[in-house]
Amino acid sequence: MDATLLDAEADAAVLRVYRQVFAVLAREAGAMIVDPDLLDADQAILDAFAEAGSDGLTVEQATLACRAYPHDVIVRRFEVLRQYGAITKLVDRPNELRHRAAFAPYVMLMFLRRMSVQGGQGELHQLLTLEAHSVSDPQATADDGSASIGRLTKVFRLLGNELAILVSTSTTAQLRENAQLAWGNERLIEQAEKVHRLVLDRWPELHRDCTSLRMALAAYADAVQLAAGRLVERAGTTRALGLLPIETWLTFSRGSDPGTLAAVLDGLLFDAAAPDFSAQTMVEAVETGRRSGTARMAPPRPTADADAPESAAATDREDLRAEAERVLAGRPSVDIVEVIDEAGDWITARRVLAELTAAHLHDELDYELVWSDGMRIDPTAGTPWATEGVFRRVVR
Amino acid sequence: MSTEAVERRLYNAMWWAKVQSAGPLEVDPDTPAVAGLTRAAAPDGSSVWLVPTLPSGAGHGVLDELDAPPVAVEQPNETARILAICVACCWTDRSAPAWPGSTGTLAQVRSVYAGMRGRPEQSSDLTLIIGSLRRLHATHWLLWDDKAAEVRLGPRVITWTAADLTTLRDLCRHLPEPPAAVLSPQVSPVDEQELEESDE
Amino acid sequence: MSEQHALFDPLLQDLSDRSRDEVLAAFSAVQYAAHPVAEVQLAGLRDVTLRRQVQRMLKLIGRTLVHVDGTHWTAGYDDDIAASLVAQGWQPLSVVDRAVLVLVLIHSVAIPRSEGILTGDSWKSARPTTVDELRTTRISGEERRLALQRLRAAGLIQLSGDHSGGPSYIPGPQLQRLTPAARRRLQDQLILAAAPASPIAEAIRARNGVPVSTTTGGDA
Repeated sequence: MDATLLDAEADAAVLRVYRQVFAVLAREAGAMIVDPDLLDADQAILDAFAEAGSDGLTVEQATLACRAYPHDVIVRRFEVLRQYGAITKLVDRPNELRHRAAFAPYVMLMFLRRMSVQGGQGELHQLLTLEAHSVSDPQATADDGSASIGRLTKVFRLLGNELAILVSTSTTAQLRENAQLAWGNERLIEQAEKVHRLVLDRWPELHRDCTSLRMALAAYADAVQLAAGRLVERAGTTRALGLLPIETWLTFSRGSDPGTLAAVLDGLLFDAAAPDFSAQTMVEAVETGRRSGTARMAPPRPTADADAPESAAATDREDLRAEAERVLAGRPSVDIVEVIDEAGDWITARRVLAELTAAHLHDELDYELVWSDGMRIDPTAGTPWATEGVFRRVVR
Repeated sequence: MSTEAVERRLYNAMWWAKVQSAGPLEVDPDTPAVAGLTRAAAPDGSSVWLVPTLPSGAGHGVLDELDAPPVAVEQPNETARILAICVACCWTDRSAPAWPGSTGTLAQVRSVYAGMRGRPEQSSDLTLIIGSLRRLHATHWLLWDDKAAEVRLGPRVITWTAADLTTLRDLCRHLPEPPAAVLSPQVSPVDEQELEESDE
Repeated sequence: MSEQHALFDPLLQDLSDRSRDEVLAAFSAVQYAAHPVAEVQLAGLRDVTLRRQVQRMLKLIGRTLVHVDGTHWTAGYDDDIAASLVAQGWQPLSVVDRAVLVLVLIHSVAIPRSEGILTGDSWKSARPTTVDELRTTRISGEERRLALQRLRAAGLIQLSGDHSGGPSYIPGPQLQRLTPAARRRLQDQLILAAAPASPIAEAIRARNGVPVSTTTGGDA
């Protein structure tokens, strides 16, 4: 996926959370932000007020402080923030130009940014911790306990409903995108159960409220399972790996002993290393080893010792005969140097010579390869060093 | 197909899969024959190795023509050279098959190696030699005993054809003559050469 | 090697010389080439009748054809044979080798999957696993070095082309030999081991708990 598409998706996800959260704050439909950049503008304005101190800022001063953003954007956001009471006049009188900002919108903005990263789950964890804390307070009353249980019941109902509806109506891709609703559910449920236990132990009369919470938790767990089931079912043979968060993999790889890691491959079989070493491979390796080990390059003198038929086909008598006849081209004998030069490079020459050698060695073929002591050295040739000799037909 | 035939097929397939996943296996001589797996008997007859063989026209030879290489061997030339040198040291009776051959020593291998290089032994040689010996041991081309510093040819050499052996015979003649082997006094180093079926 | 082959001859003897060569070439290519081979490259794979012969040869040795990317073929263990061997406790790969391979699979495949940056549905990945990432476990440096060597020799891992931070590894071509059932098994076991309490693990257990066959084909 290209970067802009990923960016667009990330923006959309952020916006989705902002919209959801702002929905409860918006006075009327249509007054909601539709562009995540506007939140950056809002933050810039609030930042400017924080810097300005107790004198506050005029609209002009604010736009100047936020000059990184288009002037009219800042003016418009300033107005929205003013209408919502996030920014108010320093003193409430008609000609007052200076304004001050409230701290609460900024806190809200920080929460939103965090929630947009994790879909609100971290905040939900914190909420659960706070609820556990408040129902443990010695001053807390049964009413507090009931209120706490009621809040949690609703949160989990909404969570469960959202997920259940996603499972039944959305595509696998949409579901995967929202899979964060299912992540870490174990811990959420555990925390909620802790609050539930505290309340029930302390105020047994709240058992009915507690039953509602248990049902909401069960519904959420079911929805999670349903979503996971559908994702796994569609994940093919490796894609389900992507359904776990990265931290899970890191924890597992860092924290597991070798036995646990190895057990992942239980039931899977792999091939043992099985390299092949043909006689020819060994001959070539020794050849190059000998050459590189001595200061002077030995001339590529293919002898009966060093060269053997390379392929199964070459061992075939008729193939060898054909090759011998091709090289002889009707003549009774041919110079090896000519054969080598004809071949062009040494690799080819060696193959040809290997076949001539094989023909020479073959019991049923009447050819011989006779080496002499002379050597042809020609740096411009494909094979500069060539031992002299002849390949010829033997007359019996 | 008869039940018996089905069972025989399954038996063969299981052993082939075992050999493919673990390499040639050393088994009790009483183990019934497996079609296509050649039996390389240990010199003392106490066990046999099961080594896969293929019909002519199949095997690694085909890969070159297809330009579809097998998994690369680390230090391929060095490793092939050491195998060649071990053939020269361990295949003493060259009128007989290469398997099982006789026991050679690290001292012999080092000597032939330096001779092949045409220079005195260098300090880096030993590392290269030991690395190759271990690689070849792991893939059953050699049976290398680290402790005794002794080597034998591995069961895979049984797959060399008569033509391969002819070539290797010539290659041996081409390599420096190994010095006489001075074997460690242990009674039977062969028996100790258990291959790591390393699983716990 | 003799001209007679006790296992394959009954299959091969009915073929013409040409067909026999093509079948053997294709058999050798899928068995011994490191990487999957292109179907177009070999008559023994292109021609459905010949390919069936290749598959029969493979069956005899506990193997099966594995289709890769719809255009290539390789060979892997037949699911039933693998299951039988596993039932006997057959596992030739040592604990350390398996542990190191799993670490490479986590860093090169699982984590990039979680980041959503891997496409396709295989164990292939170009994301390198660095030696540092392998260092985090209770395996000594020497053990790890030897394991990496053995895994490379077997084609289970390979050196990554990215040498910026020292040597690093990616899954080797042998992973492509896994049949669809084996690929899924590896995925499932990795998830079950890393996050046994997760809803995803629960869903996998639920799916596998249903008494359905684990084999999902992979046949030609």
